[in-house]
Amino acid sequence: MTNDHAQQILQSISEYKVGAIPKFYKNIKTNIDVENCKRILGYDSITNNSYDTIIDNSIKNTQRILNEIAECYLYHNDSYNAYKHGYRIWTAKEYDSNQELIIYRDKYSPGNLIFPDITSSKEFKDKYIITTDNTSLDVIRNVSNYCLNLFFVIRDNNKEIFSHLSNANHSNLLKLKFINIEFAINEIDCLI
Amino acid sequence: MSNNNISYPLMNTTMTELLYQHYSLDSIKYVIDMHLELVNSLDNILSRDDPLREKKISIFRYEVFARFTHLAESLGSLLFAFYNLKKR
Repeated sequence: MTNDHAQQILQSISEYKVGAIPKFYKNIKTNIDVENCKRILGYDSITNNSYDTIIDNSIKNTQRILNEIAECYLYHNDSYNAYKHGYRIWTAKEYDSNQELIIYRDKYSPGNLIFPDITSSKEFKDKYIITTDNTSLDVIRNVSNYCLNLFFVIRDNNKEIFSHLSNANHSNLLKLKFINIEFAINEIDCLI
Repeated sequence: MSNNNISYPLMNTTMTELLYQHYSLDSIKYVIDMHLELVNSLDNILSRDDPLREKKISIFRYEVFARFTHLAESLGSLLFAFYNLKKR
């Protein structure tokens, strides 16, 4: 990681095209394979084999987190776009359970159908009706915690490696973060 | 209007500092947490006589999902950027 790398990353997050991130998340399993995950989390800086197990576990846990983030993001992305662009959403409640819902429309919504109703197909209802009950909120609470933990691991590990490479840190230890089985962060001094 | 006289705290910051010290993706998570707290409190805050009460509660609940999508998209863009580094 160099200042030039940081510039490239900031340039990339300024320039990416609409649709790039949904596509990236759709292919998350192949995009973030073991080698890419290792590199992004900064573990490729560790050559000492004694950390292999903790690195492997952290990569597996990161990939599990990313699958959950991707699934949740892709499920909500269309309604978010409807909310953001044109405010094409309506609040509602499920008739029997009184469950909180959001209904949205997009360019694929049938022109002659105002909202899904009892005669609509399951696929149609699954796509255009978003449940916003407490259980769904709890899922979002957890997955947003995963997002934050992953951000901290990426940012702090790459910052630590940059600091080491730029000789600000003369130690042969890197203080790196790992994602544990509970999807929380462990920090470990790694001998390099 | 000229902006020549504007000073800002990150004026002499390197790109690395901008990314690793000042990039505040975590701020979006604070917004999600605040919305989650508000969702729990709205029932007490909003008047029962308010004809828009139900709609206000529903849209606040949806805001949690919207902000999550914002957070996940931003995290995705960062991952996408790191992913593309190897190709440059």
